[in-house]
Amino acid sequence: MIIIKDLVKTYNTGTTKVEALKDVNITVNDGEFIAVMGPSGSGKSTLMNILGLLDYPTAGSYLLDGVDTRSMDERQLAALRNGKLGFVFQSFNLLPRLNTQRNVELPLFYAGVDRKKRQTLAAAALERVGLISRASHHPNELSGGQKQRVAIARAIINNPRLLLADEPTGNLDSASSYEIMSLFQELHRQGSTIILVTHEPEIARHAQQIVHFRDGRIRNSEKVDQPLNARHLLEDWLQQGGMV
Amino acid sequence: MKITEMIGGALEGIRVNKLRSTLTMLGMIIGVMAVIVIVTLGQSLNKQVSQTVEGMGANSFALMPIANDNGQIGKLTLDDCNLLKNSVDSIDFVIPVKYLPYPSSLQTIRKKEPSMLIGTNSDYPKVDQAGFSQGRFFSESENQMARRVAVISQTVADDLFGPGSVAVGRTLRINNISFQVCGVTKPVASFLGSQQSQTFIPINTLLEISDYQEIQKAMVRVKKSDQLKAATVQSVSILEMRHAAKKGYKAQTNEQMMEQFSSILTIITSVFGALAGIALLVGGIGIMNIMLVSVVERTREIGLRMAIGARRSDILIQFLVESATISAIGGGIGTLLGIGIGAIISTVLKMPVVISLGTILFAFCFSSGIGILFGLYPANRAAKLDPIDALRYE
Repeated sequence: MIIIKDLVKTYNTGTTKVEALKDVNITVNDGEFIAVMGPSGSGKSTLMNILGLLDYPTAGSYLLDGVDTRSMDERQLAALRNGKLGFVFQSFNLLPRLNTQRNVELPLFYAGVDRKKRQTLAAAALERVGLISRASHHPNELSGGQKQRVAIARAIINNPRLLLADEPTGNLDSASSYEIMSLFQELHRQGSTIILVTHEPEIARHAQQIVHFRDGRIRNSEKVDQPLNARHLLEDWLQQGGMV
Repeated sequence: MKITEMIGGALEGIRVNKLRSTLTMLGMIIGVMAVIVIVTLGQSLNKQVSQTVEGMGANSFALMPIANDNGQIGKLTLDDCNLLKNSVDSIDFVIPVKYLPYPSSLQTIRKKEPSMLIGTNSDYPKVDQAGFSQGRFFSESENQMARRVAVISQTVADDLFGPGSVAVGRTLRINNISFQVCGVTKPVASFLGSQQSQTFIPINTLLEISDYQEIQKAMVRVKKSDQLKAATVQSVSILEMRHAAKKGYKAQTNEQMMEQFSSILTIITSVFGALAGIALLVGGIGIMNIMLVSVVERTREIGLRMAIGARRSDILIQFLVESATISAIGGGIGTLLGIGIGAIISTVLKMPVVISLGTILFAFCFSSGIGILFGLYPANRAAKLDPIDALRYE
């Protein structure tokens, strides 16, 4: 469970003070799938960075699994990122020199897992995203959608408590976007907690709940009664003659 | 476990950026190579000299007149040599050596050659094992009878009588006096190269044609090595008394000669080695430069690694391992090349080839150390990156 209380983030850019987040309160229960929406500059990226333990809040608290993250040093934060969080980025961020399998293994390398076990777990994660056949390919041999699936396999290999996805479909075409969203929905059904940042309303409506940001504040939070089913959308889209 | 995999990753990176890695390594290769060549040559030379000295026998010493504090110089004559041999029990034999302080002219109809003229006795080959390509050294009876026979060197023989022709038995003129060649010594290649050729004649012959009866040196061999010290003291005191020249003689054992030579050689090797070390420094700067470029290029990678759980120390170590790997490989190649070139030069100069494990190990560790030292700054820069900025870097 994630509890964010009275979170404030202020940046000092020379003489002016920018308040990126103002008194943000969110509670995310285990197994929830939340989409965060808002125009650029609304503070959603800052929130993601803080949730991802890449940035510190100026004030307020962030409890991850009951652990207060404010008092932690760099090593402890790295360990938390490694063990409890999974990141999916808009630009995939795969390492070009490593093949698919070794890209997926990477978090386990920093967790100190031995090579053999890493390979087994990486194979299992690739199986879950349906890319086991591409295990020895390099990123430049994969399509955008495939790259993002590899990135998701990397994010879930350590069974994270929280999956953070920052515009994961931002660089993808429609078919690939549906593919990725159906994968997130699949992971959600299997029990993952997911927070997804997007500016596309359609993508957001795949989640259970949408949180709207504006000017560093949560403007409103709406429950999605009937989340879109990405698998159905993909099938429809293909039937209409869309290309993969 | 982590380190070995990081080395694997570093090797992969080197493979991917072949040209860049090779150029970066080149600095290390040249630096290490230069150091190894110089050290190897120094050691070969030292070994050659020590072999020569050993050939003269560990039980030998040389007696030479020197100037004492009053400016008086001791006298040394052929009679002194005989006296020493007869009066000191521990002495096996004494070889008198007299040479003219200027080059003498050796002449045939064909040509004229300068050479150092050395008068000695028939024991001389016992301390100089150059060997003969033709003929023999003169005998003791030839010396006693002051025969006009000469031992010349192969190069001189080739010049005077024509390459490949028989020199033994033929006549040449030394300072306008007729001599018969009785032997030709094998050519001795030397690191010092342009040594003048040596021509040996019986010392009695040389004394006959020379105005001065004094000789320059007596080479003494004792029967047992533990008698060496006592024999030097005894010989010097006998000569001092005989010629009333206190401190007018110097006795130098081969060991002392060797030590003196070694210490000079060590200084020379160190100076040149330090100069070559500058190349290593430049190589290290090259590595630092390329690592800085690499850090910038891989900013996003660093950000990603941090996001998925790499600690700053992991990033630091990763980059240090990379720079150490590059320079260790460069150092390894440089060591091999250095040994190869050193061995070739030693062989060409007919010196013994010395390959010292210590030098190799030192060069390898030193180059890795340079890699770590010069990798420290770029690696630290990488480790200090802010993960958010790094992930956003375009």
